[in-house]
Amino acid sequence: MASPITFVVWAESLETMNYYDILRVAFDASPAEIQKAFHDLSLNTHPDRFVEEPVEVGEAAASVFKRLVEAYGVLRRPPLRTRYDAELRKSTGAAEPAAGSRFDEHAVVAKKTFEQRTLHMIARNPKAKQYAAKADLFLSNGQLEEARIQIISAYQHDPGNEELKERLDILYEALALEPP
Amino acid sequence: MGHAIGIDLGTTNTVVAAVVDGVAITLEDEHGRRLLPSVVSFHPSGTVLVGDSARERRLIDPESTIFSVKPLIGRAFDSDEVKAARGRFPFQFTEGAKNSTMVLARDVAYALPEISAFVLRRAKAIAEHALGGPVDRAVITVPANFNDLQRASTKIAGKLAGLEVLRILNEPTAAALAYGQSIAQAEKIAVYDLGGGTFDITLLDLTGNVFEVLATAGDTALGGDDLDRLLADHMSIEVIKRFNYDPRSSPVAFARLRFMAEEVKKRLSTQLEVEQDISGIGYTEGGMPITMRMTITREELDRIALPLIERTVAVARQSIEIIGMKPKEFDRVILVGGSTRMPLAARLVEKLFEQAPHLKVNPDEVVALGAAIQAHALNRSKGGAKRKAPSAHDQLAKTQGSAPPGAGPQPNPHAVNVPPNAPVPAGMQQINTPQYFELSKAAAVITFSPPPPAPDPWSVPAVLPAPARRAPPPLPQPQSAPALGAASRSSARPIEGTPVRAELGQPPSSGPKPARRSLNAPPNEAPDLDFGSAPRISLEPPGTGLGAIVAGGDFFPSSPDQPGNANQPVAEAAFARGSAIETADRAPLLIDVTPLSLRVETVGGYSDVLIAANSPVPCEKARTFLTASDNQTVVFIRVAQGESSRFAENTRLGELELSGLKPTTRGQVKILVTFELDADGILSVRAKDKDTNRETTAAMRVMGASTDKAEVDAMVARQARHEVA
Repeated sequence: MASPITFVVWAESLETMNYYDILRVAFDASPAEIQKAFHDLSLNTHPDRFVEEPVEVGEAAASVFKRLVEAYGVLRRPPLRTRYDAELRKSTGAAEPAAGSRFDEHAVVAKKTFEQRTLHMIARNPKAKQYAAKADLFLSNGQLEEARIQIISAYQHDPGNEELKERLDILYEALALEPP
Repeated sequence: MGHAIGIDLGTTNTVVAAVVDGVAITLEDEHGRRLLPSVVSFHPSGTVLVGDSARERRLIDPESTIFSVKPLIGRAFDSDEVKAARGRFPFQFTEGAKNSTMVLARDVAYALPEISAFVLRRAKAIAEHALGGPVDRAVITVPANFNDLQRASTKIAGKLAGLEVLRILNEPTAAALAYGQSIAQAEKIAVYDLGGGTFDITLLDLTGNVFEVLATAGDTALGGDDLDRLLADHMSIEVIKRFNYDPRSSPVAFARLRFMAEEVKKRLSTQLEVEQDISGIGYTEGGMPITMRMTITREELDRIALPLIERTVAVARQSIEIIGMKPKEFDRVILVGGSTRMPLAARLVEKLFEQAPHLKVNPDEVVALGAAIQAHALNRSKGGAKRKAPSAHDQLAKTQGSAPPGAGPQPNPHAVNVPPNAPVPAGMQQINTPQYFELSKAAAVITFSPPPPAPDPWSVPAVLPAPARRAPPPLPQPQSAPALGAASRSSARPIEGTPVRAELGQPPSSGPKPARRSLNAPPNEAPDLDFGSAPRISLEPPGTGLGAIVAGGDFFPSSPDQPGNANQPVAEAAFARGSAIETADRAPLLIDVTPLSLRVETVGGYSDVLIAANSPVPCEKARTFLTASDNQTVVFIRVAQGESSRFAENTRLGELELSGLKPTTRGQVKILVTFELDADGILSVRAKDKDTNRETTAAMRVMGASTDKAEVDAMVARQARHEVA
């Protein structure tokens, strides 16, 4: 009978590993090698493999499996893997990625607040508010490009408004454009 | 511990299977029928009819006969899906608590999980009869494209029916599991599943011991039912031309026409044209009843069906592109679901994949067989001392107050009198979980015939004393002549080279078949009092000749008269038509995926992906949220599922409330929120205040589904009022 401690320790050890280490594959592993590694590790960690064990064991194993899924989800998709590799190199400055932890390919901006103020509220003077209100309208219609132009105009009339700038950055990332 | 079964809870038909002595086999009812129509009819006596007897009542009691609502489970009343459905059915929909969808039958509103629960109760009774013992655990399948709420609602239906749901399994994955029992080497396969109400395409990589789902996609509002409706429209136009009367003006008449259209469609799978007598749909201007004979050709049906099938092919093509493969790279294409019997569907699938589909699985039964295999694999549990971590829905149930907004038990004129201290059937104990259920004693009206013996000392009552109750009124027995089938006649123009598919697994017959001797007791047999005996099914592995073929990787004997064990004629027939599969010694590990991306709302009505579609489950993603204003103590996070970057275009799951935060300047409070999808694809959420490291309350306000305790209690009470037959 497996002990839950084994998996708890395993899961903890994964916290400081990069995705290649988590899946125990080489940096230049082929897609087939990555899949094989994921399958082999899954056989030892998927909660369905522990239906005969106490529930705690399955749950502890699942905590490892979920990290495998996270790593596999990035490494199996070539475009994401390329981006991940670049980020790893950036963080270590080495030719080969070393330590690296989580990679959230969907997090546009880490800093995000969830009680949204409208751009109109953020703008600090009447002229800027006028453009900001238009931008709000475009955003609610999903017209990102039009909204971008209006926010730039608002920012020109309200220079130094950090919150406005932040919103503009978010929009650039949504549009996948680099800010000038 | 009772048996664990697999249930394919379909839009049109439900199929039950179990693994007995290493063989997964479809279970038959007392009349030898393997397909249980997923139709629920509220009989005036208070009994709820399920199956063929209910299906016949679609014609005579359309307003109290509920069918084809499965794709709507877990959908909000104001959702597009429900809006579109409202005018299409002869029965009425009504809005329940929290924008949930309910149906009205005999002036009582029922939530959709309750309707499914009636079907599941009948399925459970069939299994208990066939297996000769109690059944208390099940794997229930759902369309792969079902969202979180639809899965959670299906799970509730299972609990209402007295079943512990071991897993909510995707239908195509179940089919792949059943198919994969006999393959020798690794294969990449595509499962094309076109059922009565839903369509799924699932791409899998089957290696020896791991079956990995690579991608899945689909449409929960596209299936054979839509085709029936379109064909009925087509037939209506003929009626208008001849009689200047539109049968669509009366829901009852249109329901009859739809029923006839379904029969016509099925027969056109094997015939090139069908003549259908039409009657009972209204009167001519002179007051005479309309009767006419109509000829419908397969060509006409194909023309009507083409746009639907092309939509499915487009979805399939897209999901293949997403994983960077080409259609012809798949080793096999498996067709699942009754609608794939349409030659047009098979033809277009063949064109897409540049190969003939694999025809050696029974498209009606393979999903249930796969579910049974998974149930068997997951049922080795020692009973689970501890329950799983509560899901978002459970958490909600706990945090909700007890005040039910009008959800209290309503007086029911059809209620069956039950003594207050009547015992509770063994299976029903399972729904008495701490999260939701406080089972009313009245549930004792749910008895099965024969009463399930309880050979396991852990099960509760050994023998169920028959509760004193009003004698049930006589029920309509299945007619030997189908109500409409008798009126219709085919001009059988034989087709050369009839596809193998037409022979594998007969289409559901409306009349009973002779009871099979060795699989089922005769229908009128007295309750079996032989407790603790072996299951009534005795299925030995097929004889050596057949066994050798199975081992050789050939799923079905090419000819039905293989040399087999002469003592097992039924078992052999079951193998031959795809109702039985020999299972591998050790079930492979199934790694399934979530069909839809999980999203949170962001700036300007947009959304961010938290967990991407096709991510393996179970999985989780953590994200940090900050407060946006000073002294803010509550943060709301809106959660949805879908593939649109516009938040509103996705299916809203609910709103997450993080409360009890430390009042301070904005941005100072960081909350780490972890979103977890379990192996059923159901979401749960937990949150931690990063500064204090203390768990914060994260209650999910669920939209469009009744999941809190008071509502579920009301559902339990309503289930208890009806006997299922």
